[in-house]
Amino acid sequence: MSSPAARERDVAGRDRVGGPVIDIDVHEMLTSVSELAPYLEEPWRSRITMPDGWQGLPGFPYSYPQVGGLARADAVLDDGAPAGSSYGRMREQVLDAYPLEHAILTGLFHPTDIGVQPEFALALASAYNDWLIANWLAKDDRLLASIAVAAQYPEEAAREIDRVGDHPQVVQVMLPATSRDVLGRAFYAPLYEAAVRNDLAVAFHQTNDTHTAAGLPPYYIEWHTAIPQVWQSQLIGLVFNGMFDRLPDLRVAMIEGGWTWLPSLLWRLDLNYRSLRREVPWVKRMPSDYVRENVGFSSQPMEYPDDPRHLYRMFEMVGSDRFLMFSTDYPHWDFDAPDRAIPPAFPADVRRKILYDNAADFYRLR
Amino acid sequence: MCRLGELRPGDFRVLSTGSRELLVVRTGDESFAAVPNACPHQGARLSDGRVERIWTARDGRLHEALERFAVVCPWHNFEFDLSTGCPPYSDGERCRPRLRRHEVLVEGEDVVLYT
Repeated sequence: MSSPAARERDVAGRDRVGGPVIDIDVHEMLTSVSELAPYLEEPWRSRITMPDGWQGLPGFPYSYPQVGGLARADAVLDDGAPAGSSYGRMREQVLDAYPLEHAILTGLFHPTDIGVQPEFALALASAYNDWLIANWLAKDDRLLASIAVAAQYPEEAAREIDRVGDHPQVVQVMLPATSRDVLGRAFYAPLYEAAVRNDLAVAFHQTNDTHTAAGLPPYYIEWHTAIPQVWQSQLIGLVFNGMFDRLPDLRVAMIEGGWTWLPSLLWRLDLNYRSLRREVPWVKRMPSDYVRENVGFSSQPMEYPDDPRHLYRMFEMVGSDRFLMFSTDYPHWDFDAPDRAIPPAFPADVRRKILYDNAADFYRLR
Repeated sequence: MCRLGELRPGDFRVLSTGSRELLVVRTGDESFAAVPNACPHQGARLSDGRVERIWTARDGRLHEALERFAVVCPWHNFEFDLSTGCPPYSDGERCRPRLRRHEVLVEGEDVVLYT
C-alpha cells in the first residue's frame, strides 16, 4: 500500500496535470509463465506444466543496478511477484493516481524473440492474448491493449491479429525492437496488412533480447543509453522497404526508444533519399513525410537537458508537435510522472497535445 | 545549340557560353532540356555523372524505367528530373535543390535556346 504521504503527492499530482491523460506505455506482467497454461492446448500446455517445463522468454543478461531492480522501488510487490502483475497496485499507483482516461498496456511478452520452435511461439502469443483479455481488459475499461504476435510466421501472426483484433479494447500489435532482423522487410507485410485491416497500430518496444549496434556492452548504463539505435534501424527499415508505400494507413508507435534523435534521423533519411533513391524506387515520397504522418513516439524517457528550451526546439526541427505521446512506463524504474515530466517551459497547448490529444488522434480514441 | 539529329533521346552535349557551361539533353522526340552543368548542391559538373531514365517500381518491388530522364550528379548522386529540375518525387516545397531549366525550342532541324 502507498503511504499517506504518497497519496497526498498523488492527489496534488492529479490537480497539477490540468486535464485528462492518455498513458501509452504501462506494463502488465505475468506472475509466471504457468499462468498461460489454462490458455494453451496440447501439445503446448504440457511444455509449460511438465517438470523442467519452459522457463520463459530469453532472460536479461544484465543485473540491475537500480535500487528496485527493473521496477520503481515503490512498485515492487511484497509477495515477490513481478511489479506490474498486480492490477490493484497498478490502479493505485497510476490509473487512479493521475487523471488517466486510458492506459495502453504494452506487456513485456514478445514471442518473436523466441528463436526456436516457431509453432510454440505462435501458441504462446495466442495464450498471452487470451490471458490479457480475461485478466486485464475485463477489469477496467480504461485499459487498452497491445496484442502479442510471433512475427517469425507472418501469415500466422496475421491470423492471430484477425482473431483478437476486433476486441474493442485492443488498439495495437506489439513487436520487439529487435536487433536481429529488419521487421520492415516485405516478408513481414502480412502482419502489417492485418494490423491495418483491423484498424490497429503497430508498436516497437525493447525487450530482454534487444542489443545495441555494438552488441551487448559491458554495463547496463551503456545498453540503456545506446538502445535507441534499434528503433532508428527499424524505422529506417519500414521506410526504405516500402511498408508505408504499400500501406498508406499504417500507424507505427515507437515506444520507449527516445525521440530527440528524430531531427537528425529525418535529415539523414531525406539526404540519403536524394542520393540513393534509385536503389529503392518503390519509395515514392520524401522519407520524413512518412514519419511525420504515420509514426508516433512515446515521451518516456523524457530527456533532461540543462536548458529545457532546447527540448522544445525539437518540435520546430521535426516540423510537427503531433508526434509525441505521453507515457509513464509504469511500473519501471524510469517512470515519468504526468505532472512533472514535461518541462514547464512548454506552452500549455503543447502540453495538452503530449498528454492527451496526440495519442487520442493516433489511436483514434475520440 | 545543335542539330536535331545529332542527339538521340538520353544523349547530351556540353555547351560553353562565356564562363558558364550548359548541359543540353535530348529528353524525347521533340523535347530537350538545357540546365547549368553545375550541380546546385555542391557544384560538381553534371556531365561527369549520368543521364538515365528515372527509376520507379512496378508491383511495389521491381525496377521499371519511366519515359522521363534525370541527370545523376557524380558527387552524392543527387538526381534531377530534367522535366522539372526537381529531385524525383520531391515537388513543391521539397524541390530542393532545384536545377534551373532553360527553355529549349526545336525549330525545324535546329535546337535553339534564347537567352
